[in-house]
Amino acid sequence: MPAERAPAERGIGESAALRWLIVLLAVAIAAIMLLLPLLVVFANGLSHGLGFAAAALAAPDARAAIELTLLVAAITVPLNTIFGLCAAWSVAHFRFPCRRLLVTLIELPFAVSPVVAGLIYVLIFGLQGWFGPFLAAHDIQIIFALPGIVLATLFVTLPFVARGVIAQMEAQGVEEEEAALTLGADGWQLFRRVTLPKIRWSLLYGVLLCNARAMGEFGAVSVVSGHIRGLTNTMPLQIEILYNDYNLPAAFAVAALLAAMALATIVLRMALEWRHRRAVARGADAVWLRAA
Amino acid sequence: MAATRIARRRHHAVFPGLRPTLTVTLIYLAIIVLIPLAGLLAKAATFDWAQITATLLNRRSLAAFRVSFGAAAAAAAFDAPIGLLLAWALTRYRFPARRFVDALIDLPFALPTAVAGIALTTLYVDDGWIGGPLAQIGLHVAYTPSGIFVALAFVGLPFVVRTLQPVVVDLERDAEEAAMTLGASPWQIFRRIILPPLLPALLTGVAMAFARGVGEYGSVIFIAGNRPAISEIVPLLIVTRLEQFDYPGAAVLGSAMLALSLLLLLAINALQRGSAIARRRAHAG
Amino acid sequence: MIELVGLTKGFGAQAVLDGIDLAVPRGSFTALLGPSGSGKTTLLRVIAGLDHADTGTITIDGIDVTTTPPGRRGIGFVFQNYALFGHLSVFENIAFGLRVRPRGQRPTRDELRRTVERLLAMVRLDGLGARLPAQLSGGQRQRVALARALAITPRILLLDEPFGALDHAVREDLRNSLKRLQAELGITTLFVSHDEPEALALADHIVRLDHGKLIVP
Repeated sequence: MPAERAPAERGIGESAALRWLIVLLAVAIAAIMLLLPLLVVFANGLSHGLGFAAAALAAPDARAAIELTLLVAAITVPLNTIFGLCAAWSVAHFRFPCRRLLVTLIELPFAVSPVVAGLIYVLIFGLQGWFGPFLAAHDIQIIFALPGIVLATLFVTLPFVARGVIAQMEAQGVEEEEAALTLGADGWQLFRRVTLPKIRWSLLYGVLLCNARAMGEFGAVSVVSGHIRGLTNTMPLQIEILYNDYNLPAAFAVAALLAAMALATIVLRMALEWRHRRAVARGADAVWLRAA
Repeated sequence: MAATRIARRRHHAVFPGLRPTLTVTLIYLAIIVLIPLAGLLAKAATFDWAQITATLLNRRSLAAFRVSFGAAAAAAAFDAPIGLLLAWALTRYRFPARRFVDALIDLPFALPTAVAGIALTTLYVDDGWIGGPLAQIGLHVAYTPSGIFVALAFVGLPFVVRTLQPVVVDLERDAEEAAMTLGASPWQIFRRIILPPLLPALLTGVAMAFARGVGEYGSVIFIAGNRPAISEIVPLLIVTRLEQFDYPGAAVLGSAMLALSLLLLLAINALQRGSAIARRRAHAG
Repeated sequence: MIELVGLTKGFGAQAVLDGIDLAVPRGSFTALLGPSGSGKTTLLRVIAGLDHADTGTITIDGIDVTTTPPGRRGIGFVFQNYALFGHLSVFENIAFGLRVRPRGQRPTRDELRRTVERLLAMVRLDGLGARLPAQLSGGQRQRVALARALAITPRILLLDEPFGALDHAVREDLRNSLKRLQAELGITTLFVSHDEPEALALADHIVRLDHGKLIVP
């Protein structure tokens, strides 16, 4: 995250009026395109008051959806974080053939439509899929059950941590880690004492984004879940059900909860960035790893 | 001194942990990404060519492709100047609430697509906050292809802005000041000095917005209307085929989408690399 | 002492190292001179274990370390850009090599403190232990890097263009410090430089490299 340059006192000769026009346009566009949708969610979610919203969230189906969403996130985020760290370690430290291909493969889920992401698991584990008969014979449920939802979510959120950490490690280079090697550090010491402190910002942010997407994924989960009320509906799916049932206030109540999560993600990211920038300015790379 | 020639050695890695981390990475990728994708292609391949073309080229499929691609392209094209304006204002100017607007840009990234979907629908419906005034002048957005455009513009905007911002930050101010002293007008400076280095990043951002828009589902299906051949997007068509248990048909459509995604991904990577090289060259000068 | 026999890396015309046979006497202060691209930094890294040669052997004090990891060769390495741990204080940078020792060989808190403070005094950075690298000048960072490398009592000290990024007065000051330290500790020292006068001023022995080959005078 580059430090900001000295601001617009150095212009390109544009008049103050033009500047204000641009600023006004930018703010107006941001307000219309971005802020309004957010406000609509909260306005409709709280349209019948906080009590109603709370009751809607406490309804059995909604509560089940919330629990399922949290469970899925609790499983997928740690798994993808570990994957991301492993991938970043191998990519940043070793020059093996097909390295670029590996990085491209890791980014692949970003480019794939969520529906296709769900589709691929249905094709493998569904009744007509490769493992369909085997699973049916052993009474194992993957599609239309938690495992399928977890898999689809793993696919969709796979790149978040890996990408951020790889980018940062490649930008920072390996010299400090080489120094640590010459000083006798083994793999774990290297990771804990040198690598982790250096990548902590991109790691945290990647985890945040991974979590936001894991909780909010719709298309992929929609395909694999079977929409069984009270059992295989995550919060986004529950929103769809409530909305299609014309129960708008309840739908928006659940939506408001997710929107609050999104806001928290954004605010946390701003806080991380702000602390990072202050740390860089202060000349520290932050010292949360206190001297042992 | 005689040189001792031993047979060429295999290099040990300098850093520890290559084998375990690479193994985990590859196995994980294989299980989550590669094998399922292979399954998709295998299923699609159970159709013969005649069936594949029938699936892809029938009226409904073609219309869906047209809707998805058309709306995504229009939205990405719309996001380009808007994104440029926002990136410029956020980077170059100081104004109250700048940090707030900057944070808002991330909203489409962080907001779940279903939430965005119902929010946008409620906003643009004929008695919505925005849809109301528009309906007064005869413009209907919700439940029409325009609704798809609006949803995709929302979803794609951060890609353009966030790709442009670092490049705008890195612009060579000296070159701009030199142009000023040579008598160029602000517009000339913008067009000749500022825009060219931004173009690769702009293109990359637009490509990313397009790639995202083509496959977008949750933000779109609420506001789209979903009428076959008019406002039905390809992802929805895939879901419909699945619900009808037409697995091979869904797989064919899915494979087509996948092939497109791969192409776009490669194009975007190439664009990013070209953009990075151009920036490095500009800085070295 | 260091013995290199038959080191090569790379092929034909692009060979980075082309059959290096070299013996560096114990306790000597040796300079590796050569133009850029001559392979001198690569040679230094190969000796350190940060790079591998395709053929040949490396022996330090009679022990074959060709396949030994960098942390166990008994070398101390000072990087051109210091490679200090930006998130750790000066004290912790120097103490690093002692902290990561296997449990049985780790010094006690008091021993550690005394060792680090002794090293700080040795490189004339007393009292700066709590600072962060970003708060130090280039010359100071270089001295921290040196102290850090010496903390693990290496058999061999390797320096990669140690004064490259510093201005004239600082360089001269550091040169004298380094020469004094080396004489005091008697540690076998090998450093890479492209600055001939500086190398001649510092070193007892000069080794020249060009295109991966040793130039024998």
